[in-house]
Amino acid sequence: MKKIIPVVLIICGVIIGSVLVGGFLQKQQSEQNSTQRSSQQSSTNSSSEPSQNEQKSYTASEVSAHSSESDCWLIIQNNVYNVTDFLGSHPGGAQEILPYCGKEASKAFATQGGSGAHSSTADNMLKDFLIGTLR
Amino acid sequence: MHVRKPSSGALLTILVAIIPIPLWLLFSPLHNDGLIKLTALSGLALLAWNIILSARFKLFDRWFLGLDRMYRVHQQIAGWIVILLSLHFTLLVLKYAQLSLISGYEFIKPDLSLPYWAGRIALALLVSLTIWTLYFRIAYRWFVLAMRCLGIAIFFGGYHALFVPGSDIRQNIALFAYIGTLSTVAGFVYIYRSIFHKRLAQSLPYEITSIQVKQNISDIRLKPLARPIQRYAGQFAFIRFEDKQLSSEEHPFTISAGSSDASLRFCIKGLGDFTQEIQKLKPGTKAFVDAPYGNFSFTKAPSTRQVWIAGGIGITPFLSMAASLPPAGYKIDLYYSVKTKDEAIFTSELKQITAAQKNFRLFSVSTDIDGVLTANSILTHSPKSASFLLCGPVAMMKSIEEQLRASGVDKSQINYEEFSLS
Repeated sequence: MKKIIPVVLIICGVIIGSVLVGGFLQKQQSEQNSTQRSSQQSSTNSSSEPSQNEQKSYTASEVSAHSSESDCWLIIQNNVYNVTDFLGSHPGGAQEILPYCGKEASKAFATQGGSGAHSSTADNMLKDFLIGTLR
Repeated sequence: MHVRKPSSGALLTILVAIIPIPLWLLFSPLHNDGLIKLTALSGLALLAWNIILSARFKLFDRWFLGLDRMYRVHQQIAGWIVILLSLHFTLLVLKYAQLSLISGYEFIKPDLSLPYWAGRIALALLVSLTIWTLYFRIAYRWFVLAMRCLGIAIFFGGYHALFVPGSDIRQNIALFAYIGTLSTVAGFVYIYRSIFHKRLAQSLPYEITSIQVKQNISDIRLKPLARPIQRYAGQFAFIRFEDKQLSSEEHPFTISAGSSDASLRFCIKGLGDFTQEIQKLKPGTKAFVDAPYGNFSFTKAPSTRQVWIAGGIGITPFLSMAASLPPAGYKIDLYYSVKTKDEAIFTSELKQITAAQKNFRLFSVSTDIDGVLTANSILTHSPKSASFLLCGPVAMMKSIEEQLRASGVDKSQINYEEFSLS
């Protein structure tokens, strides 16, 4: 037992440490990119979005077709998110999200289903799933 | 007493750890993140269980075949708690890191809500204090303080488990009942132990009648002020002295007086702060004794033909046993091993017993003159079929046990005192 504990702790520490450092560097990079991009945009004064960041717009009825556990879109603050891959990872459990699949979920997201508010972490995670805006 | 089949206490401990698995499988509405949740549930159940064990109920002495063994299990459970809960956190980090490295980073980073924080504080307490007490030699009073801080983890852990988003405990009535009951009992035990114990313990009052210090060993005798403690030879007691200079914590020591003796006797080697301060105590000092505990005795060994092996201060339980030997029925060979001849301060006392008891033989071994005591030299005088009782420094006992086993002595014949707390 006395020999196993340090081994486990070192493995855990290495994993957590590398995620922490890796995530931090990636975040800084992406922030740098986005400031570069926005400065490029403002300098060229381009009216259109860069193609890689091109966003579609959807109608509420289009979104409402994606209302199952295997295909779940949400509308939050007029943005459309495809959270299908996230369902299993939601800290509150998938069952908290499922009732809103295909629907307007701004209020549920803002109030954590009526029990409080999501952290800025949740806001940041949500960005990963943005697929477009509401028309 | 080291009996090789697992004690009912050990089996119960395993049960405590695995019960969350069927409860989770049967009653949880959604089965996501199984490993993450089960590591947490088992870890929390074991944490609560370990706090309950620390209450030193007399019942546990029986369930674990001696409190010394219970403390050994307690230590192993602590290790498992650290492993399970560290895995719980690491798996969570991995889960978010799989979505994206940034999500993983966001999860570790500290701007999360209160229940997440409670979980982290509990984990930090458990990991740091378990490492401190397990891998560093620390004074007994620091050890007690560390244990007290460790207990706080149950409150943080319980809060985390109940209020963290996605908690299965809130959605699963069976898990709620199980973890809830264990944690509540643990919480009460913790409060009872840390706040009320000194007043509620069933300690009996004694008074020091004499104290002699020889070779850094205090030989203390006490007489009962109320009823004397019923015990058998080889058991130990938790004792607290009423002296302003001394810590008011209880410390465990082996009782060296014979079992029929109403007075108590402790032979305590000055190995740490507390045990050195004890040497300054004066006759007339009051003491409170919580006893008896332990299962290490000649009356519990399978054979009446016995070999007792003592290393240094490990002689203490054998002093009690030698003084309690019935006139007939047993045949005992005692090997009393010390580093130098001066250290063997109990030889003359033991020789008196050998003079009176024909079936009790004493072999004194002084390492500087006779060399290290080996199984070979023991087995030239004593039969292989005897029961072997060992008490002394861990390294010496391990070495002699291995040698005995290599010479064909069965595991079940070897018993040793596992107490090494103080």
